[in-house]
Amino acid sequence: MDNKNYEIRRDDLEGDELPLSLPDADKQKVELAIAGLAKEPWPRQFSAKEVSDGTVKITVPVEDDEITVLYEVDVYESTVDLIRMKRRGPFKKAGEWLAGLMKFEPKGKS
Amino acid sequence: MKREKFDAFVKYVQALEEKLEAAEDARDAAKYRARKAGKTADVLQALTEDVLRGTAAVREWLGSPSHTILELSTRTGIPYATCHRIVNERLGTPNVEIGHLKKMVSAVSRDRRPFAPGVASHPRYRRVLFGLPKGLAEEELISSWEIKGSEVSTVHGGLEIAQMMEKLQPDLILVDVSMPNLEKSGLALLKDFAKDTKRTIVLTGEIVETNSALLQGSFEKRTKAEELASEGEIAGG
Repeated sequence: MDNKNYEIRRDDLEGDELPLSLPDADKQKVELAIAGLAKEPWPRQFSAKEVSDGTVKITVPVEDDEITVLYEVDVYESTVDLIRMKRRGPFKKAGEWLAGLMKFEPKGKS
Repeated sequence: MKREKFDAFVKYVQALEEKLEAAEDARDAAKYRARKAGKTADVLQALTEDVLRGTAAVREWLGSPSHTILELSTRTGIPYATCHRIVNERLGTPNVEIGHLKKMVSAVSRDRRPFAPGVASHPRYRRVLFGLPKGLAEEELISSWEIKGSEVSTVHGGLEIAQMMEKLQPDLILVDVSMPNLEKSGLALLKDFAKDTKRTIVLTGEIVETNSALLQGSFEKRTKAEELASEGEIAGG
């Protein structure tokens, strides 16, 4: 792994105001996750996932929700351009509901 | 509904949900790229004339376009290939290259092979001279060229360049013109390099500043500004 520092840029970030609506602890969690991209742009602890070539998404768990951050990594220029930050609430809830359905056992069936 | 069918249905909906989320991500990434491309076009338009003026100035001073590589700021986000194409199309000079010091260092650090803009595919230079700031991946740069059989020397100050040019007679020189202690003007040095080497690559900072300096006939102004900025005398330098 290289030791370089990536420059985090927010010039084109959609949803920049989202952290403001979070409780302090969650806000800090999200900001720390973003700041951590400067050292490691593909953080495993936030399930970094390549969305398309150079575009990566991380999921930061917060109280009763998850915040996804989409960004573009340029290894040549050592930059991370934040693209979008949004709540994953609806997807998360739907996922949990479906997972619950999978566990559903009809009464009277062994 | 049988249990298997029910589970299969739930899995199908889950997969659908994942696809929907992935599509949303891809859409946002595409929107971002479109915005960036729009900005790039604007910046490119604004910089093209400056690039061309600077390039023309270098050509005039050197009397030959084949020794010069102009650097373009990474901050503009303009692809090098685009700039290279535009400059070559407009000037009709296939030998004018565009490169960037940071990019070169990054490529060498990553791939451990000699890399320089425009000469990557022709690493047949026997004697190579680097004039670079101290600590700039120097060992990696040197070893990457040495592996390919080049004899590499490095200098960190402008005063040493002339001596090494004399002593080494390099085939290729990569020089950062904002190095300290340049006793001659940048353009005068360029003329020397162009005369004495097969190829010179000029590695500098921002293209706009570089071109302004070129047009004014000296790199010293920029170097002085950088020194002042590093001493904190110029805010945001």
